[in-house]
Amino acid sequence: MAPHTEQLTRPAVQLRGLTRSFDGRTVLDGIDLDLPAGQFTALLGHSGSGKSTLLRAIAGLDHKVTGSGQLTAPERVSVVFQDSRLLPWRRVLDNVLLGLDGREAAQKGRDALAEVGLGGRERAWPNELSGGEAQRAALARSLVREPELLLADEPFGALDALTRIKMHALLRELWKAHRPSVLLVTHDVDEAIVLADRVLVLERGRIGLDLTIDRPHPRSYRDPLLGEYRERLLAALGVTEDHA
Amino acid sequence: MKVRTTPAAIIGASTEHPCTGTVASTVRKAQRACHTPGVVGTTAARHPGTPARLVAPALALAAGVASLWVVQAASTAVVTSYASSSRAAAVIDLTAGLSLLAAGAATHDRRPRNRVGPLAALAGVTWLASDWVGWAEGPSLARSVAMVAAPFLLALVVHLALAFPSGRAAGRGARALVVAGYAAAAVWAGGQAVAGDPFLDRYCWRNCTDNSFLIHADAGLAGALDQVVLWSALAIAFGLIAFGWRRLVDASGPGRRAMLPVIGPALLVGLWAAASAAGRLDPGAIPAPWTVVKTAGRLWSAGTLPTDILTSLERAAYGFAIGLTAGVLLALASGLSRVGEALIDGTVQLNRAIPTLGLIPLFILWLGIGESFKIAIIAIVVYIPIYLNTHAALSGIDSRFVELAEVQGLSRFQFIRQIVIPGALPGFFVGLRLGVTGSWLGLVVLEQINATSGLGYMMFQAQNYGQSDVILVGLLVYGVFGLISDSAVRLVERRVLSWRRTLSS
Repeated sequence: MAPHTEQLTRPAVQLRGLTRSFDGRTVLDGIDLDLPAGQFTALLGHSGSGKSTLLRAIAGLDHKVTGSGQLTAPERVSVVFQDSRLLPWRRVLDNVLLGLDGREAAQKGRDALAEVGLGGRERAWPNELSGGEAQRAALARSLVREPELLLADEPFGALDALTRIKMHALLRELWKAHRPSVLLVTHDVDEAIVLADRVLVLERGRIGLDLTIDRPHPRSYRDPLLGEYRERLLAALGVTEDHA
Repeated sequence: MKVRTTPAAIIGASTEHPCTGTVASTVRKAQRACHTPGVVGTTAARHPGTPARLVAPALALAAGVASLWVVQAASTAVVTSYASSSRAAAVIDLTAGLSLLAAGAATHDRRPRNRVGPLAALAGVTWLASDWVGWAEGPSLARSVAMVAAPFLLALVVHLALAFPSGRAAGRGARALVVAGYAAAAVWAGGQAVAGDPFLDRYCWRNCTDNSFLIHADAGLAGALDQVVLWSALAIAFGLIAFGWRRLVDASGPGRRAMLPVIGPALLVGLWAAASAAGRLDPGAIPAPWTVVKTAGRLWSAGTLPTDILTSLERAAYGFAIGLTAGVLLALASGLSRVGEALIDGTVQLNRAIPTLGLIPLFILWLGIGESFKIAIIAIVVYIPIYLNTHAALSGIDSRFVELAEVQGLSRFQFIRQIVIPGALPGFFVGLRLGVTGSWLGLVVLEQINATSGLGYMMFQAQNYGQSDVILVGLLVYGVFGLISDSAVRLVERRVLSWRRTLSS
């Protein structure tokens, strides 16, 4: 089990029989899921498997979607999107503080920017940031609200490989410092294995595999013991490695 | 001692010997400066601090003061400055000449020594020489010398422009231009002096002086020379423009970059002036630029132009203010609420389909032929583009930002204030610029058809009397105001949308 087992008593997110459908096509088919508080979970799946639909359901962003089921989520939820989604007309600090006000919040925003390595860039315009920097700012924006649950929808999907590795380390560090529950949606098996303590595979609207990854951090891509998890996950996703 | 280039340092250091240096490069520079024979002579350079240093600036200033006296004396008699018979033009003319002299005197002792100072001073002298030509009471030799000196102004200005600021014209093309300038000036001055009878000169203005150097008056030769000089001057001017263009394009400074859009219009005006000077344009159809400027000055001092401008500005301002307010309010109402959209958008689209200027007869019936119908028409012309662009920007807000606002827990008011409105500002400014242009367009049409005062009325009257220069003055004023208002909007836009600047850079 993960080293923080004792914290996993109170579930942060509880789904019972969650169903969502678009135009009569069932995307989520009665999902039952508990995400314990403070757990780092990754959600894998093919494109179109309903990963994003599940995340948006938990975030409460699916207004015009038909569905049923029971959903409990914490009050303070932050979302990191695939694009940084910074408002181009607000400076970086003001973007981080979007929806907050007061002097105290400003200080928190500065601290959050320093934490993601953007100290000193408070007055920059989003257009002046690189892709990685923008995604760091987006992380700071989600952190500054001290979320109990952090939902990340392929947050590194648009970054280059080198930046992605750095961002993995940063995300893990931030999680260690703040301990929110994390649900990281990704289609990258390696990313899921390196970052998460539990990996879910979503297949045809159901959780096809629920895997706890019991390896110490920081993990390396080259860790041979992770290979076993990797094969099981790929098998669950219906992918066989020809070259293996 | 190290030789520095700031003027203050030069003045402060001039008591010491400039030819001693410690750094190798400085020595070379200083030595070159010391051995360059100048107008004043090498002694002055070798022994700074002697009164000889002051000879050149003193001579230049004396020439300036003498010119003042000449122009003053002439203005009481037959002629004033050649620029015009008006006092203001004479003042501008003299100020320009004296500024060149002063600039030359001020930079004359700059170290490292270069030609910029002497060139500027000489250009000032030749500039003022054309005033001496008109000195009717003066000795004929002074007038003749001035007549020979005056043509060199163009060549000196070309040289100055190409050699600034290093004192050397860089590149083969630039040096060829300088030489061509001097050659053209020499041919013109020499030809005029030897063969030009001033009484036969078609460019002779007001009084035609005698010519002390005249050997044999030959109107045909003088005329042919004039033609040659005119075309070569044009060629040199184009060369200069091309050169300046390349310099501007190569330069990276934001100030010089900002000047780029001015080049095209300047070229056009230059062509117009050149064609007028060459007599290629019918002055009844297209008067020369200076005629237009003179007419503007006359209308201005007569007081009719300021009144007309004020009347027109007032109409445009009222119409624009009403149109802007209406456009923005309607766009907000229809962009931010479904009820508003249902009520407003279709109506505005309908209004847009009707050409606004076609409403003029109806509005005259409703509001009378006074001011209110004009203001109403201008307001309609203005509000439509502002409404359309602002509304499109408001309703086209990125759905990803809507989602973001929800995630961040923004209230509806915060969402509108922090996301929708700033996001719609670029669209609003597009509409605003179209609206500003529209207000002038509406004004021109209204004033030329249905007015009893204002700029358009002035032009309409001028049409009846065949005064094409007055029409051009009106167009010029319209153009200037259009340009100013557009630049003002752009300036505000740049400030408000400063976050966008990083996109283009």
